[in-house]
Amino acid sequence: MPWGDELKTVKKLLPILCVSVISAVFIFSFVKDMYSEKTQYGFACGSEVKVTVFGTKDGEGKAKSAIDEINRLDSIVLSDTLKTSAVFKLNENGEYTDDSGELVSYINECADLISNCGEMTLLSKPISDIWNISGGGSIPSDEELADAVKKADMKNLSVSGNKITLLNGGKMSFGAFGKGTVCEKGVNTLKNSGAKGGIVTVGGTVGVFGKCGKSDPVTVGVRDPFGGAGEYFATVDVNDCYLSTSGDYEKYFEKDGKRYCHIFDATTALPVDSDITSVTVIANGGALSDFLSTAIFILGEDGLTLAEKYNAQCIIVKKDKSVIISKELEGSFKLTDSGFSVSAV
Amino acid sequence: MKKLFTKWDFIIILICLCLSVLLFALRPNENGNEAVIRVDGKEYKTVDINGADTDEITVNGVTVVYGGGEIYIKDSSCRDKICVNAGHLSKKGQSAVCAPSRVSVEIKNNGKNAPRAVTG
Repeated sequence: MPWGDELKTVKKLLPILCVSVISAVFIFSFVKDMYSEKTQYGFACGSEVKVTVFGTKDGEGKAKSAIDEINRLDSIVLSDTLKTSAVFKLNENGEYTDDSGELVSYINECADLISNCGEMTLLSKPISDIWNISGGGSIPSDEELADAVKKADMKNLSVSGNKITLLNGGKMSFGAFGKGTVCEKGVNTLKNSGAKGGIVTVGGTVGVFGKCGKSDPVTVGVRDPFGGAGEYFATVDVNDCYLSTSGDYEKYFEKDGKRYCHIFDATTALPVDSDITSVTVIANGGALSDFLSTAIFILGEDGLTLAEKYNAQCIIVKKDKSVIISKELEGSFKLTDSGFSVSAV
Repeated sequence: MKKLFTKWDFIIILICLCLSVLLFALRPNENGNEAVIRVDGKEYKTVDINGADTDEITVNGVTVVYGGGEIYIKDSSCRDKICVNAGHLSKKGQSAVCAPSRVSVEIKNNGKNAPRAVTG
């Protein structure tokens, strides 16, 4: 019986073996859970905020800090509706001394981008006020439109050192840039906290960075402009970038069968009305992707040169369900709804 | 010669089998029957939307109706009604958000190929 002794030894060791395997599994799953992705939710910029953190201890705490920082930036600096913010005070008093320099730096960043697109302005509030889309919408008179165009002119904004002044009835709104700006802030907060990867969503603006575990590269849906909330018609796989979408399908009102959307041409104070229903841009900055999606929504395909200038990619959806994508997206862009037709430029 | 397997060996194997069956049965649900209602960013309630009868929950002035395979915000005290206009949700990953009331509803989507976010 050559195997007798070995069998005896194995039998003696069996319980010890079992116990060690089981504890190893427990320890492994505990550590894995500690480092697994964690998600937290909040609200900012009139939208839901979702922050997911990968590959770090205390992911929940880090996600919470990112949401806190997003809230601070929105409520203390950028919001034009919350009384606590610098922009609100600037609009009330016509001037504001920005001791921290934070607002000034965001104004400079956005003004720089806007210098590429005369149809956009940081002083868009006089225009959105007369259309009152969030309050049900009303069509302004020609005089009101002409007056709003004058007030919204970027020339009415002057920044000298830390002093910001609004002239001739100009009123500031980070509307087109707010979500991207706070999204970028959220991503940078996570990066500085030592997270290996993260996904920050502020409304429809998405920021992705680093190694996102099994989700890497991160699949992001592109909203179906003809479908319901949260429905997408395509997906795109991305790493380290920001995605923004501007469209006419969510914030609008209708009168006599005509749709008036919330994106305005600053040179006419009229809502954009073209054959485009949504523009998604993928770029390396949050304020940048927000700017480009709005600019291309206004400019149409002429805006594609702007995307090229900033090394960004775009997905343009037309009202006839034809889709134009940047050729760099071929391979990572996947149609999930066969009702659309795609061509690359 | 001793038997290769004793009674106890079988019992250990049986316990292991039972454990794995139990773990498999308790794995997270991956289908889209559940929706989560969040208030102030925190989970308020998870509901089964496939019930034959419809149910209603009102929280922060937002009335959520669910059942019959769908969930929707019926009414809200907010000004813009973007949440009500989001319509009836029935597909995985769909959501409606009332930012002024800080309430959101989302149909769970834990599927492997589900996008991690939607831009739009």
